[in-house]
Amino acid sequence: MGISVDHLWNLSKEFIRDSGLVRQHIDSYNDFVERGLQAIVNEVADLPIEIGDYPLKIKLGKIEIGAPRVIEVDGTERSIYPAEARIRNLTYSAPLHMEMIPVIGEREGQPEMVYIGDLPVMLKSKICLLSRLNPEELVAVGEDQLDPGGYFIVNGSERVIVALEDLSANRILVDTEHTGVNPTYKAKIFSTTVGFRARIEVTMKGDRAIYATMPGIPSDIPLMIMMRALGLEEDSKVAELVSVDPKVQDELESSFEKALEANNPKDALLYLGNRLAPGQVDEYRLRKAESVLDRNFLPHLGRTPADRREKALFLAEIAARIIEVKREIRTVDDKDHYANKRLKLAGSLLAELFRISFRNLTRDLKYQLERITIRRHIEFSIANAIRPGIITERVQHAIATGNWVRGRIGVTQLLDRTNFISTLSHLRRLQSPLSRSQPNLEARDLHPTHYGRLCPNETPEGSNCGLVKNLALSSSISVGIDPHEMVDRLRRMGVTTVEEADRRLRGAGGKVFVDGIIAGYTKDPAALAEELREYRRQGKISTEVNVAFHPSEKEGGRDELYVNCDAGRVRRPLLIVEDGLPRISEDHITQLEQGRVTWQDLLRMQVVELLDADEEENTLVAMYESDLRKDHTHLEIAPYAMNGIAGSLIPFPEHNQSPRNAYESAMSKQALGVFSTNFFTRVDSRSHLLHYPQAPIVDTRPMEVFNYHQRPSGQNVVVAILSFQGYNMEDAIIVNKSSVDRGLFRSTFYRIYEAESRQYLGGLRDKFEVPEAGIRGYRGDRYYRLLEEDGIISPESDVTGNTVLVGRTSPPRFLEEYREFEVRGPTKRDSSVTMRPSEQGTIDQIFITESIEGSKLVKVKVRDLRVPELGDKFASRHGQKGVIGLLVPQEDMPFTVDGVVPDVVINPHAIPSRMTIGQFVETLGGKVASQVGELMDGTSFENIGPHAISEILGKLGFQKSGRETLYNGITGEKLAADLFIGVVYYQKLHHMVADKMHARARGQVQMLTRQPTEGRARGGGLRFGEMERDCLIGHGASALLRDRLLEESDKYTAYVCEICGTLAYYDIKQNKYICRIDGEKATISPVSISYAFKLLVQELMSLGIVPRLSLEERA
Amino acid sequence: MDIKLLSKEQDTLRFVLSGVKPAFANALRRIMLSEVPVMAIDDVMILENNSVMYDEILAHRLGLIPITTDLESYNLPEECTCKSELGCSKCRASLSLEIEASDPVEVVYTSHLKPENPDVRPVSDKIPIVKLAQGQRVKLEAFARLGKGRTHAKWQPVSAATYSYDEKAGTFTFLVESTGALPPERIVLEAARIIGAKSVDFQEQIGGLEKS
Repeated sequence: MGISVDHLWNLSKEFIRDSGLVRQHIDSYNDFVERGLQAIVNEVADLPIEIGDYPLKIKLGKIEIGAPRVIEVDGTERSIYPAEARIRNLTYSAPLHMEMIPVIGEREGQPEMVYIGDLPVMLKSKICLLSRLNPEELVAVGEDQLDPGGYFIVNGSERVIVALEDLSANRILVDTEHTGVNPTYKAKIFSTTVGFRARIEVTMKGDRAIYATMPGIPSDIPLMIMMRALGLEEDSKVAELVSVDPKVQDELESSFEKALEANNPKDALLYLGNRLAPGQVDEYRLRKAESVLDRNFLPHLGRTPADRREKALFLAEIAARIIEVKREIRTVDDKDHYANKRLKLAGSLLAELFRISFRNLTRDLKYQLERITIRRHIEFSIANAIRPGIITERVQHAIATGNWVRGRIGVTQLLDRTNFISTLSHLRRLQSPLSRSQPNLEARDLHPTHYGRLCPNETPEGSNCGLVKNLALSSSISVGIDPHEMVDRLRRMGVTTVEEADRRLRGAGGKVFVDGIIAGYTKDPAALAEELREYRRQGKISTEVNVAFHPSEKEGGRDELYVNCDAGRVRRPLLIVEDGLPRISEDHITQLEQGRVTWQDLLRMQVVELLDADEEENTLVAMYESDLRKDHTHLEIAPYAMNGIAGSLIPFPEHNQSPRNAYESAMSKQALGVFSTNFFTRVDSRSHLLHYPQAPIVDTRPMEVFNYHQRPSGQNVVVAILSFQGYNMEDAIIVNKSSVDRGLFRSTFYRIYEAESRQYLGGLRDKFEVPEAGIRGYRGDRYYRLLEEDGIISPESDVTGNTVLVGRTSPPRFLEEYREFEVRGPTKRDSSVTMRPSEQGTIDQIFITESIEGSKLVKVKVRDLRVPELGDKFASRHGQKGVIGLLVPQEDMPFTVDGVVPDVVINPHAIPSRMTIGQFVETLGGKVASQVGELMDGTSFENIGPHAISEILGKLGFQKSGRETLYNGITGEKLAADLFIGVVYYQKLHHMVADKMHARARGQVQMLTRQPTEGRARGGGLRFGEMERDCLIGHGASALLRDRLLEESDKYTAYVCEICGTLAYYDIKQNKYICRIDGEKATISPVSISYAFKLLVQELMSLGIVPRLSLEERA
Repeated sequence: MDIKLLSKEQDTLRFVLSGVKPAFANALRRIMLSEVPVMAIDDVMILENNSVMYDEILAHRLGLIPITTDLESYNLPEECTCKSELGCSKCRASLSLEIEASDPVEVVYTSHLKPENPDVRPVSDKIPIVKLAQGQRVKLEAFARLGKGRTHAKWQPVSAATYSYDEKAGTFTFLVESTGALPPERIVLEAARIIGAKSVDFQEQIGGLEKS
């Protein structure tokens, strides 16, 4: 019966293929380039140039974007591919051209296509050159054919715009607060129009009156004053507008009382004006009030006086909802419900950024033209007056740093290239703007509406827990369509506007909202919802549209119908069910598998559809076909697609304790593997590569769609569970040394060192050369030993800490600086690039190129072989991490009668408290797979399960339990108990001892405090902290304490005047110490103090405080 | 002590050892793994390598190739009379490789290694070493030396040396699987010889103690 699991998997595979793993970014960016850019230009439309009474204006026309290119220093333009941008620290961007038409009076001049700036190009977007290439061509231009794209390259570094999860705009959210005696009812609306966002709050306070707030007016304004200011005079009309229910109307009484002082629109406006510009003349106050009302109050409904009526209607709706909540005929809105969330992706974030910089550009253009034309009269060229740098630099700087408009930081991040999975996962990440320092407990919780949209497992631990999320495999983000089309269609389908609706319809019918805007009333909203859905399925309206019918929750409430067509809704695909049967048939899927139909065709065939969280509330979804009843409306496609990328790596996750899956989701992003196949020509500042990566022998279905088998990050190892002399206690692991000899978990670490020969003012420039002995900062011959004539180290030479990689000399920092000391005049100084002091390796590759400023740019790639050693970190796929505790020669390892020797031995104590049964099942599955020679499927919920695996194991002649008799490799005796042994996929994590081990005897000190430096990179000391100090005090070990804190730290001899207790100074001419206060009669003594204390004394002195040291003879 | 041969194939040997304690059987097994010397490539002089594989990985891979071993003609480097670090014809054998890919993709196999001494050559001709793209060149000289599994796993003569112990019968059913460097029976024999030599050495040491 029914559709097979394989078929359903092929279906969801096709969905993911159709949408692509980073489609949300690419769609959003494409939409921005195709529609967003022009829309922003159209917002400005004309640019009036004010030159006396000369009637000049510039009409802005079409905006066009070209192909990615670079302009070299000599002015030549060349199209570039991303690979070049990465190597040369360039920005992968395309030019924007805009049509500008000067209009003098009514006469239009010659249109000019003007270059207005560069826009960074998203990789694999429509304008990206890579989007047109097939896999072979991609390889030819230096890309990994499986690279997902969806990020930018700015100054050579890959930046992702992380999706922002925001509360949806223009929706009324009513909430209660129980702080005072009486509860308060509060409605919040983020009224958002292009480039402007106004937070409007409407509150029913303890006095039962309703007040509104809006930006620009500091105080609360009584509801009725707002209503009257919006042009409604009669109380009855207002009450009628709020509700036809007399009980609801009654609740308005207190609100009316608060507005007695202003019972006509003019007085109401003056009331507002008083709060805006107190003490000004009436006329000014009126004008000010009107302007603020039009611009700042509910701007999403429009920003002209003509929109006031609409705003009054909306305000009435808000008031009605507050009262309904108060009267308990309506429940409060759930802020964490995913219907109330929208994702802001690259497109809308770039639109915000571009709007600001475009406005700056036009403002600058206006200023320039006004200046030029006044001086030289009329003859002007727009192209000359425009400064493209305004847009180019603003946008590039924002993407390069993540500093967005309105002071928002961290919008972009450096793309994680640890391994392929971490890259994909990073591109599917979302961030909540909620503060991570506040608890926000509910916002961090998993919400039922997250199902199928966000991964339940993949979230970080700690401060960002639940605020940073990842998209589930089955999610898709809406791009949005124009809501006006929908409103028009609804009118045609019989929705009556509020103005036309009679009392009966308003009382009995349902209110219809399109993207949060009131569209009108309908008699039967449930039927209309069905009709709209049918239209969508038939393709008469866009598949982007979702419809949600909210029936009255309580007796006396109202029915509402929401039509959503905005961008950023997270949707998921479901099979449509009719009369208890899915509309899809095996035939559909067979056709899909044969490539005769696509996912889009299936949407058109009305067998599947995408639902947002709002519409999903109207459905009854069956998990499996066998669960279907008559009342089901939909059927899940693949339950395991509810996981995200990292979550899908875990085999048998349903057998694990939930937090373990979360740990593993975080850990899989630290595993070494093949992060990209073009690693040879990549210049990431640091990267790792696993030498012999293996596809997991126990895999999951979703791995297929993100090509895990092609870009794996681990190896299959034979794991036994045994304590083995205790060298694996506390989560250590014991590794077979002979396996390491054979290449297990070997990896290469790469670091790129960069050197640029800069040009300075005055024609001076850096030079790459072998520095001559004797110049300022010369390090000594042996450090330059490996340099070739051009000052660059030769490939394949072995280097250790501080070796010079690129010899470079620079002109002195300040020309005058050394004149008086050096007879020969200013000499060069050594500014060579050297190896980090604690690293070593082999010179792998040298990239010599030219930066965008035309200076020579050298990148030196150093590689270092990393053979697993004591202390390196490893993890299975079940949140079981550990470091190597011992490398054991094969002959000492336990062995089976077949000669199998474990590669890894883990401690049995790692299991019971953590309950990672999934690892056991994987061990069994891996054992079966290794014997049968086929991969074992460990997909969550859809695998054959531990019992079936056991049975196969039994048939293969093993114990069903997975245990085997092993012999002690040292004594040769049989081990007393049989061991659980099998094959598990292990990952080498990028925390390696070679990068961490550190010790110091003597070394650098800080300039300011003269205390030892901090951190390994600076050869720092190990901090003897407060608690360690306390310990020594407790022991009375004062000599040791003195040694640690003074002698071995910042000991300093200060000279102090015994009379006044202030610090003395040394006078070179008199050759003695002098006290400024006591002069000749002073007795000055040397005192051993900490340098930091000397600093404190001097800092206090600088504050005008005199710290006096009173000296006594040492006892 | 009794030994009964169960089966003998080219690279595998099964026999039953009885009348010994586990310690003895295990000693035999351990010595087969860690002390029977075989040839393996130890030093590689890379003259040219513009393949995608780094020198160190290439050298590591070469080291892991099982090499047929002529125990009679070669000495362990530390025991050789030449006492030189470089080695002499008695303690090392060179294999050279020189290849430039003419096809778009060419796989270098062990068959491309040219042994100096035909008796010291890769066990199989079909072990892939590296894939080359057109025009890429590898030129190197590799030196195989005798060594012990204790130092590095590449000098293990066996891919499996194990037994099962029947406590009631007191028998050890051995399985010895050679890498091909030496015939399996030779490995067992060498191991036995080494145990013997160790015992003799031990006796001499003890004797020395008595005299003094």
